[in-house]
Amino acid sequence: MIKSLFILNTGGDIVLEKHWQGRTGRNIITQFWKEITKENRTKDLPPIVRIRRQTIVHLRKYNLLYLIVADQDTSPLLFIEFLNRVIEVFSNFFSTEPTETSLKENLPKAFELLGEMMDNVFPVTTETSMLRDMIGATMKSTPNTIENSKKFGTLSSDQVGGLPWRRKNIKHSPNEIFFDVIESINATIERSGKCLSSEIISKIVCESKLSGMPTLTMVFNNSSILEDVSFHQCINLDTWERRKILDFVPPDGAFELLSYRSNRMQTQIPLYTSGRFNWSKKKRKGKFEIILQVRNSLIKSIDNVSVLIPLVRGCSSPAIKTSNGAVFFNDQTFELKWEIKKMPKNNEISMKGSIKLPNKGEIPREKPVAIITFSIEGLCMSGLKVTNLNISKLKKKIFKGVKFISKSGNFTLKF
Amino acid sequence: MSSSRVIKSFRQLLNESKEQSRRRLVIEQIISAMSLGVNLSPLFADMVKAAQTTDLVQKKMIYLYICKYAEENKELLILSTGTFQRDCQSQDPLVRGLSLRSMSSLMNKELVEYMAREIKKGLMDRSNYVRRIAVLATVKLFRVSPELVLDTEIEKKLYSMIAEVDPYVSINSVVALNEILASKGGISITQKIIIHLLKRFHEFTHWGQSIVLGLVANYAPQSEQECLQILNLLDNYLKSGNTSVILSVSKVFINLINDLPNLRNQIYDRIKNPLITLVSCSGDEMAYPVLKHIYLIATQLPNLFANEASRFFIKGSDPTYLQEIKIDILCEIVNKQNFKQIIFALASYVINSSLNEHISSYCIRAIGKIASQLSSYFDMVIDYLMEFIELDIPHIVEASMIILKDVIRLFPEQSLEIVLPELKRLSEIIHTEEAKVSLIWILGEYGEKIDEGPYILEKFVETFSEESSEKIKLELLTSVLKMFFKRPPESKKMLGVILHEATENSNEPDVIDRGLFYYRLISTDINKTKSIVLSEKENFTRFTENDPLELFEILMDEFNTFSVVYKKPYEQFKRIIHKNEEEEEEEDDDSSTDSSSFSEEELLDQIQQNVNGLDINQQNQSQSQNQQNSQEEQEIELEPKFNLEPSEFQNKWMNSSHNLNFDFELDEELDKESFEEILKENNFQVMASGLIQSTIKIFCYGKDISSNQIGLFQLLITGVNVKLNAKGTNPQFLKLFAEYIATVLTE
Repeated sequence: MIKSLFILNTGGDIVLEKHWQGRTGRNIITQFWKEITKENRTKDLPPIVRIRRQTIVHLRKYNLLYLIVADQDTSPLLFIEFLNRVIEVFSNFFSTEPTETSLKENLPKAFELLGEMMDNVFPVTTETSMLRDMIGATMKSTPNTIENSKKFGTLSSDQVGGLPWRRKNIKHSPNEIFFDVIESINATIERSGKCLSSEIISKIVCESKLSGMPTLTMVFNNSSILEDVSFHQCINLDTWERRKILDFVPPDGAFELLSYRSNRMQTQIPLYTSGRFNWSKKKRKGKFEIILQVRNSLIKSIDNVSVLIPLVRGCSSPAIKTSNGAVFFNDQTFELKWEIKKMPKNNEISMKGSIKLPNKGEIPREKPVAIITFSIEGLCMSGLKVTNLNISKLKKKIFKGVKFISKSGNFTLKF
Repeated sequence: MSSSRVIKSFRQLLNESKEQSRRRLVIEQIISAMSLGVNLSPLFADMVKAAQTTDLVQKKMIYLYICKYAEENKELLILSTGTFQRDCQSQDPLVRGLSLRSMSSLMNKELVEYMAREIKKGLMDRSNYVRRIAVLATVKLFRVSPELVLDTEIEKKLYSMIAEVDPYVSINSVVALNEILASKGGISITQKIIIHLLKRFHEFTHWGQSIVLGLVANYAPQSEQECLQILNLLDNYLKSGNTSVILSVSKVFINLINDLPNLRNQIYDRIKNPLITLVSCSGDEMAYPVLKHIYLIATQLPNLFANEASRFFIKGSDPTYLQEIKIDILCEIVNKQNFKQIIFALASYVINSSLNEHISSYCIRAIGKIASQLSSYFDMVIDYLMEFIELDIPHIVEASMIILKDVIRLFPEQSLEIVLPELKRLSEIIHTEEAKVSLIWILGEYGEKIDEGPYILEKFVETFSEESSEKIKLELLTSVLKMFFKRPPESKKMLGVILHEATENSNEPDVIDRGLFYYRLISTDINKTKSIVLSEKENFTRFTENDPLELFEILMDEFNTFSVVYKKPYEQFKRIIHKNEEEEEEEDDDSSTDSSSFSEEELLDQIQQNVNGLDINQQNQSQSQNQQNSQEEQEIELEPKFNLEPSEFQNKWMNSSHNLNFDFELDEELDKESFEEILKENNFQVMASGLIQSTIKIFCYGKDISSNQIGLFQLLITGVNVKLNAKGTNPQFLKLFAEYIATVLTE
């Protein structure tokens, strides 16, 4: 059960504290801060720690540290999930990332939100669209008195049958809904170009601006791709289980519809990569070459390609030739970066060169790795396609669309 | 700025500002200052006055203020009741709800009468929103005066409200009842309630679903068909977007395995993929507890994740806590098929310079652990260890030597063949303390098997006087003595030198003592000394550092709780609140309103804590001494018809202050029934018993007639080995009690 929430800035000062049951003294926070800032720590502090016989669950986002003081024996996931929700709701209501500055500007609203998100010691309402009923997002500029509060405070869920994630009487003009299917590929590639392991982590995010209570159905060409999937609450799980189509009443605004993981790839990895890297003992140099090529089968173009090689401390004087793109060397972080705005079709491109090791010290035993990033619009690596998107209970004209983006996740080349 | 000036200026602003939007701004400033830690308590009367506003936003902020400073302004609080009551009559459900919620959060004894009245009205309110809040307000009321809620119409009303159409009201009623009835084991879970909640499961928020799943996990289905129904219904929710729901469903599934043992593997198979997906798709903070749960499952079913080893390979970007738990998992799921893959990965982490020292040592230990599990591959492990040692990187050499020593202890004959020829070279390249200690131990234990053994030791003895490490000196003394008995001609001189150096020229008392001790031992009886020094050692097959297996069984029962993260049963870390601790916490609050006195306050607090701790210890000691005296000559005799209710037993089991573990062996194997018979004959009462694989598990208790003490115990019997875990409130009695059980069972 959640007793208290504290939000700290980077210096360990408390920006906000909220207590739902009794009051937790600030001492525990001081002690926690000591723990987390301990010098010479060889281990990072786990997100769940025990301090003064109490449990603290914490996570860091946008330079703020959120921590929950918890008591009793409950699910640890619940606390982390709740913290994530708090951050999400704050971003939606502040219309900006919750940083120290924006949080301080919105303190009263933050308290208001926390008061509704949890009552007693358990989360209640954490859906942005439901919270909008209870907290007038526009209140700050136009004061609402209790007399005219009926205009906004009609509490739709009071009407029987409301959904936990969508209030009634939503009005939009124009009516539109857009989906982005974002697939990230994690892969480890051998120097020969052979793929050692790969998986695709994907999600479908949605921006919905629809009036009323619309029901959507989405049909896929190949639903078996969605085997390892987690759904937003709005999706009717029975329909999915029986007919393998998505049937849902979407929340209002931006939300994540589903996420999935897949090991199978419809196509080859769209970007072919290979390369070599050797430390030369005699010359105290590292020599390397990297080759990239768009797979023939790929019709779409690959954009924003970058190859990042983190090198050992003290490396200097890169001497590099490339066929395309630009190379940068950062002499503070000792990282070499090759950037290509757009990959040419058909022919391979390469970067070749050497880098000097510092004059003293040992020759590194380990070869570096190359971290590769890229993005491809319009491609779906898993082969997922939306064959039908239907919206019922809405007579008006609706703008709708589905966009696919494939990109690199954790994509590394091992020399 | 001193706070008195701040208060003055706020008070002035409040009085001057007439325009609503300006007042709102002032109050916003007050709330901001309050959360900075400035003590604004003196404004209480002004704020109560301001609460009569018609602006909802202001009202919310003012109520927030009132709740924060209510404690310090008890005498003024009565002023605010008028406002609260008026707001409870408001037309707007938002205002009614707000007022009810704020009032019930005050935790004030004087206001309970008002509170109770408004809460009862709130439970009947026409608005769902107000009813929701009223339901949770009953819990707050219960905390202040339980008698106003327990066994009253409120309790009855709450049960009926579970059936309400509004999902929030329904869930909140479950939450409220669970907490109000906590001392009776929570809400009484009937089939009717479970069916009702499961039927409308999809209507609830994720949080509500988690709560329902908590109930289902404690529910015992009445037939196999019902088990299957629950299983099918919840299966879909393993795809939930909320991790807490996924883990809660997993817990229900795991509990259902007891009723459906033949589906065990299928059920685990169902929860496997969702868990793995959670690890790869969610942030580090989320992945951590999920990995802890995977680890726990892996201890029970190592093969479940065996084909997924690569999912638990570590990334350079992983925080250390994730790297550690992933390595732990790899150690559990290793088998003959994935062995090479896993060892190779671990070895590459050891030499990967982008990972920190702690992790590379951790990996070396993991490699050693795997060697102990899969003995047929230990030569590959030794090869890796030797390679690591040659890298000459201090922390790697250190960790590798220690593990090398352990591997030799596990598989002396086979591994010595590989290691012995290398000892001389190793002795020249290692520098660090622990590594040297390990090497010297190996030399003392097995050095005689190679020709140059005594000479390698001699090299160390030559530098004995310059050695600054006490640990090395002590180990060297022992090893030289051992060598002396095995290779006397080559070691005689060296022994003389080292004993002289140790007793005459050392500064460390321990070294001098050990030197003198050996000296006297040898001069008294040299043959006896030999038999002592070279006594036969027991073979061992399992490191004691490895966790006991029964721990994981307990943790499986506590799936989806913090116990799994801490790797400790709940009873070992739960928070026992003492009276004075609570007071101490309240003191925290008073001072916490002023953040400037942080360090001083903390210091005082710590001192106080230490002093309190001391007192308690002393008291306990003297108490137990008294009891010891009075109980010394007593024999245990149990009351024949003593009886505990299951809930009482459980309560006692969880809350007993003392715990005693005692292992013993039986003369012959017995079956479960005979055990129970023996126990009953001796007036022990059997609470529960069962058979887990080949282990018999029995929960039992008894009450001693003369001392009136109650003892509880658990027996885990595998073959002739018995593990006894006894609990009670008095350590002396517990010891007698445990001995008595052992006597009863062995006779």
